[in-house]
Amino acid sequence: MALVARDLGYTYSAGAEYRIEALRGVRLTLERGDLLVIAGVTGSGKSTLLRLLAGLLEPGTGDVEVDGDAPRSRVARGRVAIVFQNPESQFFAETLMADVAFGPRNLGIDAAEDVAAAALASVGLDPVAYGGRSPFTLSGGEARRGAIAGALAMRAPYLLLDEPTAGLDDSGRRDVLAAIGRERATSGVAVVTHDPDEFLGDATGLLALDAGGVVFEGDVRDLIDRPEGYLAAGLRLPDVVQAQVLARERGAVIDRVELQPLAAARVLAQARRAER
Amino acid sequence: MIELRDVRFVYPGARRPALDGVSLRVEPGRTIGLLGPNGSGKSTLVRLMNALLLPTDGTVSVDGIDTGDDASVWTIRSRVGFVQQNPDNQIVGTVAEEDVAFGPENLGVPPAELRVRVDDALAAVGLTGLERREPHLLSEGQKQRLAIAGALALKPSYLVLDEPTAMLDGAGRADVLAALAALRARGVGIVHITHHLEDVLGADRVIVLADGRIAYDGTPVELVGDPSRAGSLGIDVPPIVVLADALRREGIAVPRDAVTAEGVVESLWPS
Repeated sequence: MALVARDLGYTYSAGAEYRIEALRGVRLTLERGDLLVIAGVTGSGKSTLLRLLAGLLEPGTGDVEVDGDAPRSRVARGRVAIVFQNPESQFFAETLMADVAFGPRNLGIDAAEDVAAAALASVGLDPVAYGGRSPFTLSGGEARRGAIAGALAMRAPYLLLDEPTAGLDDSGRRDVLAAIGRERATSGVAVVTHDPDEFLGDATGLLALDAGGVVFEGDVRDLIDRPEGYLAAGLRLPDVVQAQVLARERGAVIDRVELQPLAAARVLAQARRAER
Repeated sequence: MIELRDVRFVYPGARRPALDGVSLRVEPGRTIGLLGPNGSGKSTLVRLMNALLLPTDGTVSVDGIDTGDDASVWTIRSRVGFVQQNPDNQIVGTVAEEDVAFGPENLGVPPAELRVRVDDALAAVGLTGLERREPHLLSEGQKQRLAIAGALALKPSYLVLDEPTAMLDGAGRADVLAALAALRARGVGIVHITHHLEDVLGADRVIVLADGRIAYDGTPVELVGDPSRAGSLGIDVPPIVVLADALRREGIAVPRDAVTAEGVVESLWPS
């Protein structure tokens, strides 16, 4: 039971003079409970990858399976939820509540409005205050959270999020990160981001793309020992990790790199004391 | 100078003011980072600076011209460049260079100077080589930089930007921040709205809005050096600052202005 991609590739305008090979040779497995971070700069192919995983694009090469079925097959309907980079382009209903409830109602989930209200609350949007608002009057941050609520309400086993925290203020970001954490109890979550910093501490896997190709895949901690492809792709190591890498370069003995700032401070302090 | 004096602004039909009792000055060659939660009044504040909105009470002036002076509204808008959150809302050209040329061409800038202005503006945001690219074929980050180039082509004295880096990747973000730093060095006054304190660590001043009022006005280093204060303002201190703070509690001397990985490591293992 997983969302699986094998040798996945896609070329826009295939066969035409101006074809653009957006993606090639991607393999990945997303299981329930996973948080897969897909990192890359703009134009690296990460949004194309999400569309392929959701079945919104037909693969040029390779294939995608959702619990053993093709993502476009009837039986796979509702198994993958996706939130795009421009959330406002996803709204269509007159009220936010109707919009968020549309997915679950369409999938035959009972009490769709209750599910929708819970989803809104989980991203920090009070269903009473926001449910009756037109989605088109929401601020950028509210719209993004509303779109994420719409995906959460589908209760899909796989949730794909494109830059879910872009444009959010700090409290909105904390709400969304907490909602993602809760979602992992029942679902596998893949997050596409150009700034993986805030997700890496909780990630179960990291896939980094550059110009459509995979430059890193594996455990986040392995990044410390082979960061070359990741850095060459224009991605930044989180400052907390960068500090430990630099310290190591300057002779500090650090065996295990920590991702959280407090744990990292203990690592650095210990290395410093060991020298005395 | 852009000067706001005791400004209050109430949206029609709203019960509470979006801004209340706000006074501040934007000076040429200085950068102000403007932070605050969604709904705190940041976007309203910058819209008051170029006469897109007029204050309900108090005054706003640009180089001494009151923004309420109808006859001067275009002078004000040519001095105060404005870059919005969503570049799609302000891109009009069918190719990149046309979009950048749109503003100055409308103001009657002669063709030879127009070419120079367009090339300079595109170069300032790192889009040289994409002059003939259609905007819809640009990435989100490139579109945002195109919008900034469009504002720069008007040679503004001030540039106000509403979350210009929200959609940019690390490299694009660094390019924009570098471009803004270069503009400041050329004497442009900059107001940079952002949700990330990291974006404005190099600013001359940071102003934090809360519920339409100025809740903090000081330097970015003072703010990151006081995590509890930042926390009470709803601002997340960058993780590297949390790390530096934890080191200090372990008894290791880390200077307050060490707010980068390099700065922190330098204080433990000098190069």
